[in-house]
Amino acid sequence: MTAKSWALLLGLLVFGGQKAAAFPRLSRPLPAVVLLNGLLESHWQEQHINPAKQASNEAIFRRAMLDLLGRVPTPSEQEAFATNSSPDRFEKAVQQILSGREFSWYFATVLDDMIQGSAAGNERFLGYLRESLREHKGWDTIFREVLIGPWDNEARKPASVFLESRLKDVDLLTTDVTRSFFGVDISCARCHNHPLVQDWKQDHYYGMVAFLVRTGGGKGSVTEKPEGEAKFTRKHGKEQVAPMMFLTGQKIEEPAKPKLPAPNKPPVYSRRAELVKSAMQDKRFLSQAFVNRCWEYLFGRGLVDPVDQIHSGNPASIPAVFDWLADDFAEHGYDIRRLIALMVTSRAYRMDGTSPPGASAPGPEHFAVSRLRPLTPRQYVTSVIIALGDDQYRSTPEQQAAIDKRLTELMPRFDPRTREFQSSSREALFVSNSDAMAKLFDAKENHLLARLKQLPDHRQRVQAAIMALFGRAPTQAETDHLVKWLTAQTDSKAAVDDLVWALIASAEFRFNH
Amino acid sequence: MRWCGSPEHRIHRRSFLGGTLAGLVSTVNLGGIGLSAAEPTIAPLRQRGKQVIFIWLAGGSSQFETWDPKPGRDTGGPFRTIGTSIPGYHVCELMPNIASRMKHIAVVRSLNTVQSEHEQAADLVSIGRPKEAALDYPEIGVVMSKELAVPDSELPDYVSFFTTSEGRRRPRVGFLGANHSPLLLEKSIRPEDLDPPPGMSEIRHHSREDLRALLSDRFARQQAGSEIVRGYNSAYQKIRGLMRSDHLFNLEKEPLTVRERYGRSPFGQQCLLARRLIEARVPVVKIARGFWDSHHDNFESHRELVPDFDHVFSVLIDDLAARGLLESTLVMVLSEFGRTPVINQDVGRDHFAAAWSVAMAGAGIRGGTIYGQTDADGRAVKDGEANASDLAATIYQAVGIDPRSEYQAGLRPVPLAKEDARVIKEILR
Repeated sequence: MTAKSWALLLGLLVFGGQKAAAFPRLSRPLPAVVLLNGLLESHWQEQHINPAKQASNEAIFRRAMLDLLGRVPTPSEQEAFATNSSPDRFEKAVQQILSGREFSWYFATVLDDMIQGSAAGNERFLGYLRESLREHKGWDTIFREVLIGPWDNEARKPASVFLESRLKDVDLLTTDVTRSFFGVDISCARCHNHPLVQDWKQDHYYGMVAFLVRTGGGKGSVTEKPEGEAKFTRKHGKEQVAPMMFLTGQKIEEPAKPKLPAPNKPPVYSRRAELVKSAMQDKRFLSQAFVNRCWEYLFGRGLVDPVDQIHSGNPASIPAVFDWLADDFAEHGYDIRRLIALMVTSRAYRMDGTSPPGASAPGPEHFAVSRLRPLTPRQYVTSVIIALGDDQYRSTPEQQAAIDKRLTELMPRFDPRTREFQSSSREALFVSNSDAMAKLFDAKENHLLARLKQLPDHRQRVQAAIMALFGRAPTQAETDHLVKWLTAQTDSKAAVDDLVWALIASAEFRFNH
Repeated sequence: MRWCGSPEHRIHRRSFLGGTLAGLVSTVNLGGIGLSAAEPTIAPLRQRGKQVIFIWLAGGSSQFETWDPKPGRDTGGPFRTIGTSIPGYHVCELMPNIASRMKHIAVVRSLNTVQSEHEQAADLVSIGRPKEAALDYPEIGVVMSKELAVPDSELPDYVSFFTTSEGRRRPRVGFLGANHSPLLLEKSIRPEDLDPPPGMSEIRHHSREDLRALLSDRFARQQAGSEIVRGYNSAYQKIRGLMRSDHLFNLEKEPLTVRERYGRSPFGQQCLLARRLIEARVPVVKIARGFWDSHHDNFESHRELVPDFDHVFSVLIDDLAARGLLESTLVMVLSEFGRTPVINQDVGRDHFAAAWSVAMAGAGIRGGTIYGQTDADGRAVKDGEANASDLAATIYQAVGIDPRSEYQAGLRPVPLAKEDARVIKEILR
């Protein structure tokens, strides 16, 4: 923990009117999440925000399962969680989720989206990320292996896919490296100093190009040429050569070349390695970009929004939280699981989705109320399959492979989670009418429907269906209404199918909340 | 060059400041309120009721064997030319029907779009500007479907066919988002998933949807950020209209004589369906006709493709005109590029973006105009050079959409057409 975070905490405790008993002994630091919560709460106090109440443990358990494993819990998992009476059962569940194999399997797809953007989905790269998470690699290691390798064995070789797919266009390469790993979009500074963002000058853009301009190769290999410069023309100026310069403004001088370079040997000197070195020295850009992207993934919006616009003119909405998390992440070996655990067990993640009565809803940038987030196609489809399934899902490799096969077919039919999410009629038509959806409801392979139909009456069917699909007990009014609905259907055999369809296609299932 | 709202990009500085000075700046169309795509577009009067058909000749058709023949030159190939209804203008002899309908058609013979790789060129022409790493631009057709949308219509704003193997490209919705996705007809000329599941009665279908909507509404009522549920429910509401418009996609509903006139080729059927959709007020329809990428035996393949195009395109123009729809419907014939003047060793023509042609008819178009010129061998533009952005701006202008109006993409004002685009006014009415 840095001196700065202690100072923040002390300030908080002294000026926040906390009881003296809560004062920490410096020899035994508080768990990091207490610090994080303190920073959040002091922000809400300063802003006179009345945060929402805490959601139930069951609700945040489901929320976290969707975020960390990409699916709803099975009935068995729900029951195990519900019957656990330990006061920190949610924290324990999160630890268990993060240490399981399924987390690496799923969360690699989240990292893939963060790094690859619209080019996500390459199986080799995804395999590399899964392996990296299983090995508990830090984000710094992944960053280094993606940019400079070593791509010396089968496990690390696919890390080069990120560069490989961007070799043709050095501007795309520069823009994507900078956006994915440093949370900064400098592409506007290509033609001129950025008109809206003071921080970014042409020197920054071409300074970054200079690190990457020698990167070449093709057909499965990435190489670096011994020569090549980033050249640009300033407004009313002459063409000039840009020195390597990191986003901090730190310039790198290239050492003089040896007199007799060995022919056909790869260059000993690598400009990309200089970029990695600069980023690791700075820490700040690498760390805050990842922290912000994880926050956006878990909360539906970055602390800095949009996530690729981290610059002085667009500060974080809760600066103390942003800075502290970025420091903490870098100081703890860029440990991805630690960061996720911190965010997920924090007060902000536990919020209920309803604003406190009387108060006007606080803006989304304060994270004082949980907001609806659309499931990604992967999360939605996986959840439908598992929720309709036979409760035998244990995320074995065979089960995962079987689901993956169906995902490939089904995912493209659903609306992607984008910053400005929009629902399409294409998805609605597919869910309403397609053979592929009907197949999921085929009672032969659908044990939820079979289980429901075996129950003695509609009341029990409604209760079991809501529990299985929404992970909560129905309210009295809800039960009454749905029982009445089931009874009123002329086709009584199909009524249960239709109830389950309506639940799965309803907003409570389609969105994380 | 990338657009970021800088005055260096030759746009009027005040339009960069956006709404604050809107009163002074005619170029800011407050109707086009970008990213918040849910907001309704307030269409200016002149674009009301306008519609568009895009005919995409995928792979790159040859300008020599269509709109810009060079008879008697080394680059000209074996075909002769024929006169048209415009004195002095000749087209390739493979287009006799079009030749006699030139009063409806304008041709731009002077496109120089530089990019001659399929994917990149198709992106360039269909979004009307170079792709950009940081901003995903929507296709021109998608922008038009948003701008020309009919309020409260049950029908999709954009129907896009691509059943041929080449040019299997889904229109990019870009930053406008998924609810501007066209209805895609990929497998047949009938949309997928339009029929209710087998054995399901209409009553059941409605009843389960009503329950879905009710549960969703109740759930959303208590939730922060529930605006997205409204969009979600409205997507489900829209499918009712789509399922009801099933008959539109059924060509059996057309008289036999009409179907015979269009012919039984897939291209003919698609064009007939396009006319049905236009008649039903669908704002944008796109048809793709593949197999133009003639690196081998260019003349043989054009001998097959061009007469089919000539026939179907002429029937479509006649049909639209007879129904009084041509006045309000822009028909655009586009490719990703043209083909080389040099005839290669396989008697083919390769990709060529430096001097090629497009044609258009209908709404806003001054029929009978031939714009621009290439040199004697068709190797370079001699006069009236235009690029992909100019073409996009011209397309928007033709249906009364101001190409300089802006969407707001995050912090960035993004003009519909690239800021340095020039409308080719000469071919517009």
